[in-house]
Amino acid sequence: MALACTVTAPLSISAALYGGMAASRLACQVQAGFDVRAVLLGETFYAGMSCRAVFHMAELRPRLYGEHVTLPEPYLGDEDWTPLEPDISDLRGLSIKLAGAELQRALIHSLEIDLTDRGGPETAIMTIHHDSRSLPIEMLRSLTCTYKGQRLFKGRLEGRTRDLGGVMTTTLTFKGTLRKLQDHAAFRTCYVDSDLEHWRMTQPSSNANVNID
Amino acid sequence: MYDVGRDSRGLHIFAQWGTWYYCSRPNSYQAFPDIHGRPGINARLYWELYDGIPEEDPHCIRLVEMQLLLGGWQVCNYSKHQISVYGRHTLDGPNLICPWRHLVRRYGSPAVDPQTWPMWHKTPMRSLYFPEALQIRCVVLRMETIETGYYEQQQLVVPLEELHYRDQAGMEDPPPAGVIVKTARVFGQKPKRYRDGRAVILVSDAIKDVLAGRGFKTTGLNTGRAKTLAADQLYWNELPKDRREALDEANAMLGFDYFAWADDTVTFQAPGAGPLKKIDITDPRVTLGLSDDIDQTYSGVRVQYTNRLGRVREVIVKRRSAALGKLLRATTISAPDSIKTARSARQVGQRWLKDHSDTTHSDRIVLRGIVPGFGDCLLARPGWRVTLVGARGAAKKLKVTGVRLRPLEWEAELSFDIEPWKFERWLAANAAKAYTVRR
Repeated sequence: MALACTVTAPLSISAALYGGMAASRLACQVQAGFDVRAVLLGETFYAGMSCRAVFHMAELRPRLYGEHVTLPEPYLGDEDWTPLEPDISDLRGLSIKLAGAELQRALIHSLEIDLTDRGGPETAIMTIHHDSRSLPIEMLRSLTCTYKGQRLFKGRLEGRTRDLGGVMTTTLTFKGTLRKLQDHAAFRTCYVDSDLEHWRMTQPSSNANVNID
Repeated sequence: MYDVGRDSRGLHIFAQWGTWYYCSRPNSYQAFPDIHGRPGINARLYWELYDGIPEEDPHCIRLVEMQLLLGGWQVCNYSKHQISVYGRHTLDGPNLICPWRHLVRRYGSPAVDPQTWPMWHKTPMRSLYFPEALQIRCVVLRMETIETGYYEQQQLVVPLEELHYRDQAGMEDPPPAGVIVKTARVFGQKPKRYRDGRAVILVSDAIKDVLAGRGFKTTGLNTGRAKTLAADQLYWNELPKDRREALDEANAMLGFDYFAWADDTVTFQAPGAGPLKKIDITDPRVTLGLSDDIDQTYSGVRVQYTNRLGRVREVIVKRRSAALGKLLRATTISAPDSIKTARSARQVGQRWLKDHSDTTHSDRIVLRGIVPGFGDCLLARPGWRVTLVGARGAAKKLKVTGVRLRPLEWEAELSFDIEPWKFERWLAANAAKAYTVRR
């Protein structure tokens, strides 16, 4: 006999009870801002409703890949209270493109973008669950990251390293648009020079000195 | 016929006193060749673009503005001398153009004692243009003797053998005759702006030019300090140097923030012009990591400078620091080369202490999600100003200097490295001889 029940407050818990088993088992799963699993241990279901539930809560924050289940709004009580963790379902409009092609977020292990007050987008370091050797370099040459219509980063590939640890990952380093200014370290120009040290008194040799005056 | 007298030094071209051309040499005086020669004997000064290194880019000298001091006691006795400015393509090449020639006649009447007569005459500022077609890359200033009119043998107070110019630091011991380059400004491009008849290079124009070389346009450079700040020293001839370094060097005088959010446009923002945001540190989405330290806080400074005689001197400047209380914490700094007097050195110390008398803030703040009063953390930008709410003693506005975004975790890390940027900006402007022009 199978029995299903639902507990709503304060968290949404879906429970499925299977009878006729040597050890009754109750599994509860909640998916949203965090992951909860509950196991009910008891001799028999008919022995009474006294049972013990153990909740295992995930310590890591969720990733954006996988299935998302939206929690109902928690009880706020006073108006000033805000949830501790951001509701990732609101994170819409984030677009990550490699060489113009949208990149699956499930492939991305981490992404960090550095912005400075001297140039704006400076560096983006992205680690992907992929062996980049199988990817042609044209597919990695540029990274564009936009969010809610604003560009967070756009840059070109500057470095690629592979990590052969527990999971094979590839770390890609991108530099911002102003990297173009550093392409050639041969910038030389004279707008104005008022330094008298640059005046010289070196006399050219008399043979080489051709004066037409 | 022609005799320069008992003076074995002939005609001389001296640079400005402060530059110590001759005086810094082991042999304090270096005679020009053929000093006892005939009219036509000359001496020269050169200014060559990029020190004569061939350049692929067709850069050339377009304008020279110079002001000279002509004279010397020998000029009172002998005349005539001629000043010429030539343009050449190379140092050893022929003279292609002579935009200015000036005849130096005897100053004063024969009855005037040359020692009491104002023997040095300043010429008005000359603007000498060179056509682009000639590709002038070397400018020659030449002084030559044309004719001598001998009035009277000058009686030297000091014997010639003992007459040295090693200690020349003013006009007390002037050379017998010569030309002193008082100011000279060489322009590698034809100036676009003039103020009071003088060519002006705005720092913002130089920044635009540096960025335009890689196809970038600029916005925001027509505000504040960028409108009026001009520089007299913007000459980059040392390699390796890239445009980013040149951009940072020029922008250091302005202290602007700049961002390249778009592909081809760089946006400049005046310091303190960023939007003001609030961060409530009691918000559970905010993780605070601010700290105050006094590593860069001082209440005294010893400023070293070199005076007009070339001797190292120093002054001590103190300033009460609220962060340090009665604690005296001092260090030593070196003033820029342009600082020659104790008074200006004290001003340098006061400027420096003004930026170093307060505690510095470092570390960072981590925001997650949408923070009330601040907005979406992923849209945080450097250059914004932030007021911390809910923290005693931390109500001052902090400038966001760096942002680290973690989009997949909806998280942003703001950095607040406060630098003594005002003093650095002043130093950069001082090195470039920057000044403010009227509009």
